[in-house]
Amino acid sequence: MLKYIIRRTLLIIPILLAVIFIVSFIMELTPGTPGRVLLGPVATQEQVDLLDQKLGTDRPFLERYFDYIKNILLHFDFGNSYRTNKPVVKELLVRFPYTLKLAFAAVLGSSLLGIPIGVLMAAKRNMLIDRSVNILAMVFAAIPSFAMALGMIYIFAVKLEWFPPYGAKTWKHYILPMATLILPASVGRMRLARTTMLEAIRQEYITMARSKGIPENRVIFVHALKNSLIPLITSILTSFSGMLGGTIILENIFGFPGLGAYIINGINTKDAPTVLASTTFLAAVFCLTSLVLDIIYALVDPRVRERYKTVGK
Amino acid sequence: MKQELLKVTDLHISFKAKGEPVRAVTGVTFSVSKGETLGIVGESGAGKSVLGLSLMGLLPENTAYIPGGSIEFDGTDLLKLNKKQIRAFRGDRISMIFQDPMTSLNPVMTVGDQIIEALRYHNKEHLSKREMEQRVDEVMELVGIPAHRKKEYPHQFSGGMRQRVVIAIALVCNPELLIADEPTTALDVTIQAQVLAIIRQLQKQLGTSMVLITHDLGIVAKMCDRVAIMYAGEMVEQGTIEDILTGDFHHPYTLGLLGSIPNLEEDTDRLKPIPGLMPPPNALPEGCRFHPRCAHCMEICKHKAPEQHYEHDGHYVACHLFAKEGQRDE
Repeated sequence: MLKYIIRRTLLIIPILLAVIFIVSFIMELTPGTPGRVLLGPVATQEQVDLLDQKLGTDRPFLERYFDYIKNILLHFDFGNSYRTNKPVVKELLVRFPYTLKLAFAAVLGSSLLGIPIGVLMAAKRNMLIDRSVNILAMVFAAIPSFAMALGMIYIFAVKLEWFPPYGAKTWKHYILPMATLILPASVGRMRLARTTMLEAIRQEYITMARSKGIPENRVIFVHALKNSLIPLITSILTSFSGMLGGTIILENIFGFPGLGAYIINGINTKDAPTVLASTTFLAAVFCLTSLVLDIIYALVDPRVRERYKTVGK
Repeated sequence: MKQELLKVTDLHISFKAKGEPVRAVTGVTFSVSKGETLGIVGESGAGKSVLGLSLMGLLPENTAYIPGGSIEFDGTDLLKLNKKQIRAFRGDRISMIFQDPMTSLNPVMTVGDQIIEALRYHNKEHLSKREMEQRVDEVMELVGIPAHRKKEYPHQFSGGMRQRVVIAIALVCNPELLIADEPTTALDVTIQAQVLAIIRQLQKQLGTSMVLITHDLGIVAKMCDRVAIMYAGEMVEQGTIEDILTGDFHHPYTLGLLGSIPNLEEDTDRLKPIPGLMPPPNALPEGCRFHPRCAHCMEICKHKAPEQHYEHDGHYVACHLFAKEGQRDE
């Protein structure tokens, strides 16, 4: 298992190199040069060329790519933002905690809300509670997040004035964006929990467990739940890493200084260091979450554990 | 007469469905004495498994219901008990061996944990934790699994070994009645013999009664004291193993089943299957349910369900062929 983890961690390096290559290549394909974007359409070609030369963006693509990698490896230097001329790593680290807090709260909240309800629905399937929650869930799943965000702002910020509509200064600022993230996410989690539980409950080992005369609660929460955990954990962690990439629309609506808004800004201004550093960072986070996911699988499912043992040899 | 442990009287089991309820079992009566093995034989869909589950109180709650009848176990009508009361019987005094050991064990729990579970919740002897562990070791050795393997998971066992685990689970509380629902159908033929031998030996050793649900008359011949033949939710014939396998008076369906077994002494190219299919429980024919497939079908069979017209010392046949003269042409 340890060998497997080490191998997976080492594998992250080539993945990141490829990510950097692909992203910078795509940035290269977009029209215009950073100099032109920064100086605007009124600047003369000489001024633009001068700035491009200063930024070093007039050099060939591959040369810049290897330079970039070298700087990262030797000095952990991801470059300065073209726009602000500050190190992007510093800017990133200012932004990231906001997104992290939001994503963490959203994933935790939606799991704590969605999974128990889903399990309950599976245990009481086709009864009144199951059906009514299902309809409610459908409604929440159908509302697009921007509409929900605007609705939240209108009701709780404008009309009731309970929470501020904009910014991220106090905990109160977090409530509305979190609620907007949590509600639809918990609906998804709930439906998944319900389906996987129903799937597990249908299995013969559940009838077998019942045949032992043990309490129904134990049948549901020990025998069925443990078997339905894997898809649930997968969904939790993938949605977590997805949210880390920034919830761009929501960050815009709530004026939330998170990663998503930062990346979009970088792309718009052709600010390659910003975009590259952010995407590399996110790619690393994705790789780590999927590694964590694999480790959790192994903890939950002995069959997976077995497989890693033989792979590690 | 031996002491009766299980007495099922006129049991009906139906499933809710759109329109008419589906009647899976209709008016089944049988009993099992202490230490005795009753084989319930029939084609797939005859209602055998549903019958087995009903004895455990394990019918699917949302869809199945029991319109009538009684299941008396040691003097208690199981159908009159609430969920908690029947749970006290289940796994303790009555337990079940399931058909497919590949799906009936929980894949994320060690076999030891799965065996000890029933013991922990019933524990009528107030065993300590260590004594329970000892009991698990004992029962594992009893079914032929080394006790040190209890920390392993089901996927580390072969099919035959898994079925031994399933048997160990069923036996850990020393049940008085064992319901085995096709316990060897999912196993290799060579393993089948081993598993059957284990069941038979343990049953003798522990004095457990058994209801053995199967469609394999070979298994019945090896294992059972008495046999009940089921067809489309009814019991068409019941008797001792000698009555069924060698007696002269049989239900045509029983004869059909016996005729489907290859005879080693005769040189036959083809087996003699019963023509036609068993009717689905939502489209049962009128009269005798077997009449569309019966070679001896008479006019009365088409509109009147037969009673147990043949009865001799515990051997019953429900067929008009055995009706006394005068009864037949009502």
